Amino acid sequence: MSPESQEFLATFVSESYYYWASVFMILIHVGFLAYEGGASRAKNVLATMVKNLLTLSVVGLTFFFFGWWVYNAFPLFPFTGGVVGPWTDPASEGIVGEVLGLVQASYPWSSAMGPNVADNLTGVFWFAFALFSMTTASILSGAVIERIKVGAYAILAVILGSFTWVVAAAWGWSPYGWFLTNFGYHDFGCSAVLHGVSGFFALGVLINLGPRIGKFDADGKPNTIMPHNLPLTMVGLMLIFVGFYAFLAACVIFVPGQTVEITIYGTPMTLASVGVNTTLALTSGIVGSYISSKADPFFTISGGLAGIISVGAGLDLYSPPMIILIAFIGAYTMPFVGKAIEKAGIDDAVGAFAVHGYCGLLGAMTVGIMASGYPQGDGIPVTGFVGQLVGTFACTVILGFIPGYGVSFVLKKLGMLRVSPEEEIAGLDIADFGLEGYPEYPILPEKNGHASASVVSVPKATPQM
Amino acid sequence: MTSPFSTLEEFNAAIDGPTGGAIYTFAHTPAINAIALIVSVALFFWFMVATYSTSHELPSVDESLNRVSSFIVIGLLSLVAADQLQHTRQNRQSAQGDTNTQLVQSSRRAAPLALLGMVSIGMPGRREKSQRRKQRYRNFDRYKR
Repeated sequence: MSPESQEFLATFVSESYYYWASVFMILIHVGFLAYEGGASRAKNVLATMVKNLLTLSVVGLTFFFFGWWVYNAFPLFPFTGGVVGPWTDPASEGIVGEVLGLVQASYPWSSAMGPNVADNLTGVFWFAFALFSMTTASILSGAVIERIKVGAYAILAVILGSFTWVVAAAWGWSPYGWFLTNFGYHDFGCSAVLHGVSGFFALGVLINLGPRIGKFDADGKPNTIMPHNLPLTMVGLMLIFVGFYAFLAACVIFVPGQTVEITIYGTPMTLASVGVNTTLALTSGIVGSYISSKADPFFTISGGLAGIISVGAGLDLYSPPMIILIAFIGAYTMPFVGKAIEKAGIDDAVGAFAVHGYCGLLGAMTVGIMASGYPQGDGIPVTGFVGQLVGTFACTVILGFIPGYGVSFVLKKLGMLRVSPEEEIAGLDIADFGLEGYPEYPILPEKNGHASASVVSVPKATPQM
Repeated sequence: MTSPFSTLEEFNAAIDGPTGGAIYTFAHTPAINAIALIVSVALFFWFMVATYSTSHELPSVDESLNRVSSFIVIGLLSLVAADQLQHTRQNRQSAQGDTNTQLVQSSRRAAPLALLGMVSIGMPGRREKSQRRKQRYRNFDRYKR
């Protein structure tokens, strides 16, 4: 084999690896579609699934328009430099010069984004990141089902999926990000960078959105709104698990010229450990939430995801027994967080905050204790509690909760956030499409939130905290 | 520290280092991972036990129907027994004229016993029902305050 062929083979391996990992990541969205559709009531199933489907479009397109540029342009801002863009001096050297090269390849008009035999990798990295972004927005999608306006969701999905989480990734999941360079932050599987941001963003939105009609009675006591198809929800989560293997595999960095697999932080790792640790986290998480929720099917299967997210940040570093313990703790405590949120008067239809927000925060902070002291580069602090705390706070509060609360507050004041009570009671399928998800089957009104509407009070948007 | 490495050079050259390529947490202090493994196994056993105890309480089977059925069967059996005794008496009436009085006395002696048996079968259910009723009143009183 000629040296040119060998060089091309290395490129092709990288290109293929990220391509197929990204294709399998689409299973996350198949899973979310089924999960949310099953979790809704029969009168809202179409609206829920269509809303979820639109996530692919609104985030996919906006990530192409500006999201990819944000990822490459923001790592230095605001502590080690400014936002890099067309205004940056093309003759810049050093770290700004390196970042500028990536930024120039990330503009939507860049030649690297189209068919280009001189660049096989920029497009495939865009593909992987676009799917990360869609995943982030889909997490919000589940929390707000059955009462949000599609337009409001689309606006929030763009802000979360193509901007705030992307800034978090630029700061905390980039070799140039100031979380790493200034504080030694480590978050291999994006526990806080992705899940923490989206979970807390969802919490901020839920406070302004308010609960579904009938979720709380006049005394504020929560009522259970059962999913119309729990088996579909469970199948959906299984598909999400499959997609998560691909997601975590795509977090491994292998490009031509490397002699070992590395993380985005430049530290060595192996793909095999992703396989072992993800499987152990999944299985241990299911066990943890099975015990703590007393075999509740919804929490039990969510426990698998909670386990993976709880260990995600240190998945490349933890020993297998540590993975089992950390995933167990995360998943065991997750149902209590979900119930506490409900007691606070917040209607999180799929437990998005408990699974993604809480476990994301826990996962990122656990690295500061259980994987402390790992070196990550010359002049970069070793992994530790303070570094994790800074990064996790920025992700969950600054890039998660505050934007979610702020934007949804503005939408609420403009009357653009929530559907009318009449539409909500009639069901969004009828209100939005004039169709029913199951036209051939009679739907019992009292089981589907119709009859109770006459006796329940329409909830106020602000929950009882 | 949980990291087996203190410098990036050591980390990158782990394959030649004391851990023989292992880069995971506590690779330099295997005892901690061994303890974590033991705890993991204990958690697994907890889970196995929990699979037997986490199911929700099912509504108890209504045993009153069983009792009524038993009552009817016992009642029918006592009728059959009485009928049998009647036949035996009629058959023997002609042959043993002297013993007539004794047979009538023995069947009369069996009737209160059968009645007692029937009542004793029926009574526990009745007692439980009245206890349940009392319990209900007690619970009701609790809500009264």
